[in-house]
Amino acid sequence: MERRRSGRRNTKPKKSWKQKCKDCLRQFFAFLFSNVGIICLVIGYTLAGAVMFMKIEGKKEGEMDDEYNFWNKLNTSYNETLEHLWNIASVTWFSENGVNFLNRTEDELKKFQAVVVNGVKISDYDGGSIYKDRWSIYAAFLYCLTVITTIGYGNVFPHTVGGKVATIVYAIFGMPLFLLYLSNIGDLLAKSFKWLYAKFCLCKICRLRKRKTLNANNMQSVPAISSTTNSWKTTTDKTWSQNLNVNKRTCETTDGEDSDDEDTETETSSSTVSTKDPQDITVPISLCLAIMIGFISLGALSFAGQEELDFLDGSYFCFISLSTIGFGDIVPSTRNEWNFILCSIYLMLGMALIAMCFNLMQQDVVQKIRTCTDIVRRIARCRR
Amino acid sequence: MDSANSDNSFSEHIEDTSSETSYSMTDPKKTVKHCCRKIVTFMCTQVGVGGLIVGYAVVGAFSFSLIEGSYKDPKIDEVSNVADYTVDELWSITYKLNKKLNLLEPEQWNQEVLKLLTLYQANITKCVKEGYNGITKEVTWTFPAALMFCLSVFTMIGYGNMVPHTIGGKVATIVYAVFGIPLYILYFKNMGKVLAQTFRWTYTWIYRCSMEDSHPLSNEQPQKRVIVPSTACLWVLFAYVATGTAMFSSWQSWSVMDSAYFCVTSLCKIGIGDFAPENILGPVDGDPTRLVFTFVYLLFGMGIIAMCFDLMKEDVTVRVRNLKNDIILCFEDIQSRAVDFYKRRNSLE
Repeated sequence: MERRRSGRRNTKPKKSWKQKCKDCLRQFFAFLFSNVGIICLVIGYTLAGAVMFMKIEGKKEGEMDDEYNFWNKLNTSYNETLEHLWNIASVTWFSENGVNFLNRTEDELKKFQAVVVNGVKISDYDGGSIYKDRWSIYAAFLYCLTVITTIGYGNVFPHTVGGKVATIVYAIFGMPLFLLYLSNIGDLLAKSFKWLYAKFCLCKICRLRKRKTLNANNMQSVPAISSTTNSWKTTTDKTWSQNLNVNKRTCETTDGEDSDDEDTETETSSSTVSTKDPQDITVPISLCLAIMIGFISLGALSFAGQEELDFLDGSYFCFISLSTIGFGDIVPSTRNEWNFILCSIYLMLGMALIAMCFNLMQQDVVQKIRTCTDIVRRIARCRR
Repeated sequence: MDSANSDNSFSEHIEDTSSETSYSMTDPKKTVKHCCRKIVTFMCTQVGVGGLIVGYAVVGAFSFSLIEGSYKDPKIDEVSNVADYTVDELWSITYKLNKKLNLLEPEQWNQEVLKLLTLYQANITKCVKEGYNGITKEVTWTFPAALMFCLSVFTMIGYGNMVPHTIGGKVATIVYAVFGIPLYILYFKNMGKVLAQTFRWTYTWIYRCSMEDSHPLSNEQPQKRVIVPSTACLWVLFAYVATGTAMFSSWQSWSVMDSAYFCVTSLCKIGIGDFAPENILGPVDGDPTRLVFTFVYLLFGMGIIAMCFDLMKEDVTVRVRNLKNDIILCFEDIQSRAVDFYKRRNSLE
């Protein structure tokens, strides 16, 4: 659509000043609402969620259900253990050899230990004061982010019933929003990356093009060349619809002539607009993979520097986070605010980048499969 | 040019066969053939992908229990050392007091033991903070637990109740996820499509039946495609979550609220991990059928979500299109009115 519009603009360059201004404004607003707007919306939603969860969960000392229970349990368990130990001691003190005593005390201690371990796991008791600033604004923000991105580390989780209900509702509305963000930003990144790639590989493309125009006149049905020509097929910004259309068309006709026509069409159209259209090319899978690996190792390096992890643990953390698995055995610390800001930016950017890579890879794979089926068809036809 | 001509004839041939199979079902041989092909396709795509994903999970479970089973948590030793030390201290306190006074003073004994217990508790807490989770090695990487771990990796739930500790395990997790996630996404899309088709067919059937009852003369537009409304999808989802809630709350000591929370966070792939299916098994040799049920529930639930996604997308697009048309109509109306108004004013002037 955009390309067509720009083409039209090229054919009719004399436009009134007012119209131009209007166009510009409209584009600016569209951009604001589609991309900047959605980023702001996601951040705003997360912030609102953080404040809400702080209100719901961040109660005063001793009011927390689980922690209160834990305190009570711990106290009763202290008393019980003491009593039991006393019983054991008073029964066995005269026997002088400690075997019986030791076995029974060990059992008793194991029970006590289980209570402590469970309690510590459920509440965030750290041996000192019972209430820790678990729901600080940073932690709550990170929690909201992990909920809507479906990472779910699990280092911070709601204890109250209200918090749980709020999490469910928050997730139901937050996840579609984040998916929207991903698809929008992924699209934008994919487009800009394609443009960059086209600029970067300019010389290579020119060479290919020359060879193609030389060969195109001579032999059309050679599969090797057809593969190169096919890689020039359009995969424009409206990838989905376009792919569907092209698929349909190939299903209906499935012959070389038509696709060649298509190629010449795109060639002519692109040559009228400019020498090449960056949206026409596909980025190879290897480059996408390299970008992902590069991003993960970048994150690994930066986290390794900040949080005392080695490189493998850092990349493991980055991978688990970006693939939205989110085990939570290694979590970003929320003590340091810079660390936290870096982490949330890394997550949001990284997921958009991964969406972009998937977008590009999908295009490439679709392209390759189409080429393969074309080649197979040609071969089958030759034998006939 | 010759090749192009042959291309055309070939494509025509293909079209012919396809039209034959789709339109003229009179030939019984062809019907059988068509049916066979459909069944094979179905087996290869839907059942095949489902089987593949289950097989992948089983293979992953075996390899992870092999890789991680050899790992020994140093924290376990530390905790047992602490326990041993405390027991020894207890004995020495008892013995000492016994020797000194020749009888046990409850007050003094209690004081000393309480001090010891507090120290012990602080040590255990420190260990827990550093990663000890109260589970011994033998319990951790049993086959069912490893199966749940694999499920949580490739569905991207990531409960985090079980995590790999060795370097090999971590690398294996990354590799496993890299290959497992695309497979899972394939399953997700396939399952969503199939379920959506089935559901749409059922819904259409019911819809037609009810329409026939109320309006017997509604045979004029039987070809019109019925679009499943979003509310129907939401009801299905709600029913599915409610089933899961009932199931988990009956198995476990979880409250209804907790079970619903677990279901939603699992099906949304958040997997916070404060409730995890490891607890479903309960003790070491819990009922394995529960695990199978949980596994199937989660996998099938993902399919249901995909289905709802599919159907709701359609519904929303139709609605947005209608809305757009309405708005365009509205604008046109306003425009025509404005034009009329100006015309009248101009004529008056």
